[in-house]
Amino acid sequence: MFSNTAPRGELVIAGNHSGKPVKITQNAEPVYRELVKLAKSSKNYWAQITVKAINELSAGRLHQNNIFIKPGAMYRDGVEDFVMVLPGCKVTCEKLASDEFKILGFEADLNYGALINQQQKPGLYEAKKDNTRNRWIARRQPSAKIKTEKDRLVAISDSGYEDASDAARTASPRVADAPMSGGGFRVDSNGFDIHYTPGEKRIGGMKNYRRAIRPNQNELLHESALLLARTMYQAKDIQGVAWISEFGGSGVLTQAMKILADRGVELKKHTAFLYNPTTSPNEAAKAAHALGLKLDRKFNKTKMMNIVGNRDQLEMIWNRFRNEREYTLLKASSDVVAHGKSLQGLGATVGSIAAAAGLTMTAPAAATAFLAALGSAAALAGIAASTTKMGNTLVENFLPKHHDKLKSKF
Amino acid sequence: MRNFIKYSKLKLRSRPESCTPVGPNFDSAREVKVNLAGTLLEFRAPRHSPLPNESIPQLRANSRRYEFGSGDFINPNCLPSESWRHTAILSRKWGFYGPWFTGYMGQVSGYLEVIQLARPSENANFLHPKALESASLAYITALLGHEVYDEGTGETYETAPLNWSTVKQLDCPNLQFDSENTFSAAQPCRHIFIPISRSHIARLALDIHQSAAGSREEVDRKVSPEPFKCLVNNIVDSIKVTLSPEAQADLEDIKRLHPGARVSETCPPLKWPADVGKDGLTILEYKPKRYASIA
Repeated sequence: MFSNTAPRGELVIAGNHSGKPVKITQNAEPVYRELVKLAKSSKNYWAQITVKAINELSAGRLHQNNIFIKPGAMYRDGVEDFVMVLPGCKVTCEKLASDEFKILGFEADLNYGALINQQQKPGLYEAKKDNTRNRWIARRQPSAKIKTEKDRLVAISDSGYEDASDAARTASPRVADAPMSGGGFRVDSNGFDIHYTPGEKRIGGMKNYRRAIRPNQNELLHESALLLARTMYQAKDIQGVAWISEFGGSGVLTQAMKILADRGVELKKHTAFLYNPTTSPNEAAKAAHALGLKLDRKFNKTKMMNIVGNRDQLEMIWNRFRNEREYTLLKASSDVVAHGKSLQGLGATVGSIAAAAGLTMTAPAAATAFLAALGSAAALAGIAASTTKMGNTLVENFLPKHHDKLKSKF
Repeated sequence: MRNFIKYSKLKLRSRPESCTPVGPNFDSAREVKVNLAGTLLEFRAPRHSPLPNESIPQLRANSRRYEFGSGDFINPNCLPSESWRHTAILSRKWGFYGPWFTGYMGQVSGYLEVIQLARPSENANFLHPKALESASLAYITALLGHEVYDEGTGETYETAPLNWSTVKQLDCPNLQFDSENTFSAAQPCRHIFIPISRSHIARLALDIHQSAAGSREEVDRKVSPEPFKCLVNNIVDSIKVTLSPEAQADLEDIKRLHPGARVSETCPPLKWPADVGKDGLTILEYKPKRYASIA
């Protein structure tokens, strides 16, 4: 107060010469310095994400608006508060009327690395079947990079498991069920990587319906999704990586894909699959298209009773039909029929066909137009599916070549 | 018997701060008896009682006499040197559950296998206590010594041997020790090595898994390790071995030629990371890409 040193202004940490200046208050500065120090080691990849995200504010926040920024109130003088949820910390910022950003405070957890080690924070693990102990074990990958192997499988686990090896044990048969995995033998002998999200409760599902249908707005998953997005980005040059979510893992995967897509990243060498998603599969498909992932014939395997997973299947089929060249009308309509076999799919499909035919019924808007176009094809495939189950078996057995030719069309 | 209502598999409540889970009752455990090429190995073990969503099935032991040809491959993911082969004999899992619908708390998995060198060595005779000792250490190094957590500092995921000792009630050469995780929960695994012939060793692995996250102390507070250890100790205390006549004759020879030979009293944890040579017995310095040409 009485010393001769001049009062120090707010420190500019980014955007000093170009872009929007990002300032930091004196209270928050020591924590920021500490984070920068941590970010120098490659082991603290979480701190790197955090520091970079703060520095990138100088380029505005439009490209980050999608996912990990919770906008707050806008005040009359043009000042706006917002919170960024980043791995290891929550940052409270202010956007000033002069288009500057000011970081007001950190809620940082500088022990984040230790917490990842103790499986209390999201992390990447290598799951392998130890056949000299006959159980699945999960080994943490300290730099959160997947194994550099062609056609590597990466599971994205639901939360609600007590530890990562529990998650690996549960995920292993589910990963083996994905069409690109090559079955149980391959999964057992090669193992897979698993992105593990700890947590008390499962992600999505009927219990969390509101969050489940809007996976991108679930800020509880931001942390995990950012870390997964980094893992995905680092793996972008590896050929044929398959990102397979199990149950609520679809929420994390959707967000991660959205984060990458919004930054203009493309993952054309990779594919994705949802095993019984408990968050909206349509949102996931949209994000996967935006990211340029090459999807297999099937994008998800949804159980009959899974309400959230079946809810927007028709929209998803429509989106796939629109965006994927190989996903033809025949494939789309046979998927519509297959979806019709699920419990509420039956109602929705019949409802939309009826609506398309001019009857007054409620139906998903996008699907209605779509189904009007493909009503006849669907009906055709419907007949094919219901009456020729036996016929299919006959063709398969007596005319195997012909069967293979037909099969590739549906 | 476990109280199936109090210690149910169902999880309807959130977990308590700390708890002592309950697993299978050892008092009613039946005897397992296997004939490993003439050597009888007996121990008591509860029935297989897996977790609700276990994907690895149990492996039942045959009552026939086991003969060991060239053995099966061990997954190169676990044993990249491919210097040992094994024959799986038995695998069971025992789930542990918390009181009043707090659900699954952990498991002990028991696994019995017979191991042999991929390239049989004429000179090695595992019935000799010192040979058994170096073979067991080489095998555990081949399994766990290459698993490096951090290439920079050379930290490994696990450390062994700990609690080095022999099984008290056995006359034949044998040894047991634990391996543990180096960070987070300990998850100790007991390894028991009993030679059954010149070139074959029976290995019983009893692996404890406490299902909880946190530091070692936190995990032990959340899920007490005592019941798990109690089951492991009970199984180890019930082991009985009757060597086959040939093995017995070999053992007599060794006793006559090397009267003072016995397993070391103590053994400090090995300096890992380390690799194992192609012969399966020499412990070499760790090199990240040593086995890359095989994979």
